[in-house]
Amino acid sequence: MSTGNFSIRDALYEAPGPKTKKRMIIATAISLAVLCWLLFLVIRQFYITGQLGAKYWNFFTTYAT
Amino acid sequence: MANKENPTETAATPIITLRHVDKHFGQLHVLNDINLSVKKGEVVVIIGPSGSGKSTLCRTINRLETVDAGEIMIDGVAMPQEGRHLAEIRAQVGMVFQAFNLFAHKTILDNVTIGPIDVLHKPKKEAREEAMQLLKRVGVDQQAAKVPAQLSGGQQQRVAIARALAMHPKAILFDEPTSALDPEMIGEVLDVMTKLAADGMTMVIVTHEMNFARQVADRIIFMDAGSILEENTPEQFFTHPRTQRAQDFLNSIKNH
Amino acid sequence: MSVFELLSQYGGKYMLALLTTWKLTFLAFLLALSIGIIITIMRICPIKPLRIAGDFYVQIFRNIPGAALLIVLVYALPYLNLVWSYYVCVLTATSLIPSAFCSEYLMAGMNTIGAGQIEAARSLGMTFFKIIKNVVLPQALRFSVLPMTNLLVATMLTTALASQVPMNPTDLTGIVSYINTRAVGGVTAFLISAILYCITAVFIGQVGNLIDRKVRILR
Repeated sequence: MSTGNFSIRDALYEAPGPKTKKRMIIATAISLAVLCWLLFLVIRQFYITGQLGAKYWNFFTTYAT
Repeated sequence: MANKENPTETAATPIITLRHVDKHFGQLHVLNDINLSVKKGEVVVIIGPSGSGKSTLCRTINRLETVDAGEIMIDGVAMPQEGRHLAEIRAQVGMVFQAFNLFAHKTILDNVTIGPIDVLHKPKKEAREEAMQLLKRVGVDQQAAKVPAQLSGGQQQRVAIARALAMHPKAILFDEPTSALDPEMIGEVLDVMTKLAADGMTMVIVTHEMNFARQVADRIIFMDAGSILEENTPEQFFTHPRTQRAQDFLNSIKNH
Repeated sequence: MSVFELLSQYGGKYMLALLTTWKLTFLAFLLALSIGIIITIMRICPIKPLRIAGDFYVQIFRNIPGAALLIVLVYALPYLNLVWSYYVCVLTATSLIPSAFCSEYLMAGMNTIGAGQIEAARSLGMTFFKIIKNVVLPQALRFSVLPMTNLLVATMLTTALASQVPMNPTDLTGIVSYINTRAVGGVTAFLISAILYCITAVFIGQVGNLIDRKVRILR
């Protein structure tokens, strides 16, 4: 039954009921918000310290050898 | 079994009821409008060709598989969909798996006591004493201190049966309990099951052992392609199957 | 210089360096273990964004060379107004990388359990947390003893990164450059450090094996 590429991720949880589904949607939204906030903090730190300036990044757009 | 002809029992609520149960795996219709009711003390054996949905049916009864539609009731209570209530109902229905599924890190004794202690909150001493009696009943009490990997398949499956019994279940589901066993060990497991049936345990058994089915079952259910095609007493089913497919299935087994 | 000359002159320094390496190893391993457990919980939780974030974390830190990470921490972070002491930089680098491996080992440990046992626990009426407590955690922990022993040794070897930045007191690898700038220690100075690393690693390995033999799960 549990042959092939078994993963604990699939085995640990059973098919969610209606309440669990609702909770998962809320948790997903919260976790997304937190992760976006962290990403925002990083980018803000880049911005504050002037590291987002074009001169640091435009070597990606120019040819080099 | 002769002692089950008690007329008052037929009026009581069935232990297991399935009404219009439907399930799809993608395009595949694995369960097609299944209706089934199992009375107290009844032994129902489900047979059919592989892929007919009999294992899935067995697993839906305690919601190891979910269904798309229909109703499943245990002793008159609709199967909850999640959480503590689901766990409580599951604790009332034992399950024995094809692959035994004993807890690999626990001793045989602990495998049997973990349910009563952790789920039913029984005192440890009491749980241990009862577990030893159950292990004796299935004939593996000598192995109580060993771990599952040190036991033969037949012994492991008998421990799994003891583990299910320790919960004092209202019914036990057997999902092909002898299919993973070497031929010489099948008998010892079937013997334990036959004794259980004689003791009046309510059982739903998915199996390929036709002689055993004929001997133990109160009712045979024949499934094919997700539907129940026939429901009959073992005598009637094995001597006069009503459908062509049941006839073909019985012939294909005889030719082996 | 001979081994004896080196030891008589720098023996105290070597001891101090060994203690520094031990201390770094211990702290880094504890941090790695804590972070690794948190990341593993994220990776097996049913919430998709956390799973992805956990996987991403492991892919990043499993695949970055320790020296490169240290360079980023020491030389790049100050541009973002994050100036950490050398010690903190070393500790961070030597715990982030092992934490990714820690999570991988824990995942591997849990994958050995199998869906069947979890279904069996479920059908006994165990709730999710009881299944974790009774079936998943004990088996995952027992399985992880040997991998974690290896991780501890690997963490110790990673702490040699500390030699790349000025530290006081310096670690076992750093002490070699310290001596070789002051005396002609040559390969011998390295040899002493190597032996000390070796003794520690063998000791860790023996203890790990001992524990593993006690708790190993027969299959």
